[in-house]
Amino acid sequence: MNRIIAFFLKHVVFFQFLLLEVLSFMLIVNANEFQRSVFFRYATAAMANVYEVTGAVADYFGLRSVNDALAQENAELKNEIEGLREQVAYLTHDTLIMSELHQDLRYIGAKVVYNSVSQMQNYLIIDKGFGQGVEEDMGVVSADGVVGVVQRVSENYAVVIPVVNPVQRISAKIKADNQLGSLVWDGRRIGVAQMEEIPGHVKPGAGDTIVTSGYSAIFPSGIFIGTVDSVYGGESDPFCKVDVRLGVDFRSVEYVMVAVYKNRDELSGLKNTLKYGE
Amino acid sequence: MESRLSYLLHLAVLLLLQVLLFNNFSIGGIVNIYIYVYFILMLPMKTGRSALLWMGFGVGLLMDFFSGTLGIHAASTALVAFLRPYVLGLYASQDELEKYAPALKYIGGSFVKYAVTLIFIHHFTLFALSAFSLSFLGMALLKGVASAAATSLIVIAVERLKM
Repeated sequence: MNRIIAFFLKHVVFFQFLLLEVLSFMLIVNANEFQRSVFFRYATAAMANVYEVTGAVADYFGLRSVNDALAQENAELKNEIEGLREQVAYLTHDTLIMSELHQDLRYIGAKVVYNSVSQMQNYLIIDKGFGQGVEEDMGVVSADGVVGVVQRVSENYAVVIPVVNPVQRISAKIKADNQLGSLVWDGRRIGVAQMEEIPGHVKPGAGDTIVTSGYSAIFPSGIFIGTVDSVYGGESDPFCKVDVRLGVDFRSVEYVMVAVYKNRDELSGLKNTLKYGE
Repeated sequence: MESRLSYLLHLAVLLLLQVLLFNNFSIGGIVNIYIYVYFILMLPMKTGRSALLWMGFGVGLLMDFFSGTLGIHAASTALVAFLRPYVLGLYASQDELEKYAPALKYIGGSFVKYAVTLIFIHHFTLFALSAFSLSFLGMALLKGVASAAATSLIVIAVERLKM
């Protein structure tokens, strides 16, 4: 203590000087508008720098919780996007297909959750099952055209046999002259199927539109399937065959709709009685 | 040998000169004469450091009141008063420090160096505090040099007359 006092006394002039300078400085800052503004501008800048540094450090330690929050937000946004995308897909189909033309028909929107295109026995799985009203032998379409037919259903999923599977056979017609044929896939190219059993006298041309015939309770009439690519068979053949470039890109099909006929059971029941009667 | 009254008189004259005359003109916006600091320079050798300091601060404050720049003159004049013993020790010999006061007639050439140094420090500090910004340091330096030269000339001239 004595030493401190001694030190202070030894430098008493200097401390007085410091005191007076501080006093002067306070006077300058307090009494002079210009100097005050300058002083506080620098003081504020200095404090801002300090806050910036401490804030950066605090931010670093907060990164984990920020990351968690962001990940959670990301997931929520993704869910929302999926929901909206589904709605958009549904609405797109709805407007394109104009289901009001088929009053006995409604569609169930579905998302493709599995899709194989690389094999012969291709199939798709969609995320709607009998719990949502999907049943076997219902037609599945997308905005680009016919996709396939439901083969098996579980509660929330359904297996769809697409056009690009050799077991699938779909009743089709040439839109221009309503000539019927049968659409099958020969298992060679994923984007091209064959339309067979076209009467020999019909001469389809490349580019002709192929649509569903509607002669079944699977697809409504006039749903786009594809366009004629090339024609096989000579003049003398009783039937001719054409390659059909499919409208649906099976490699990227994502959102589809299941066509549900109101009177499907009645129609198929009627067919069955006919079959049994034979 | 000068009495306290004589110093008070000197102070009064210097302040009046400063406030009534020198505060009112400036040559080219660069030369501003602050003659009042002469009072701190002329105080006797024996003046205590604390007393010097407080007198410097007081005279500066008085100037501040007259010129509406509270604190600026006080800070620079207190600085000069604080540095005065050191600057004297730097230039004056031990023999000269024994004299009554740091005046031209007592210490001769040492007075010129002593006066110029302290006047420049005072003026430069004054301009720097007025500008209150490092970006005007060059300007404060220029004004400090020019104004200190002018003030020093006057102070030395007066000292010559007193010889």
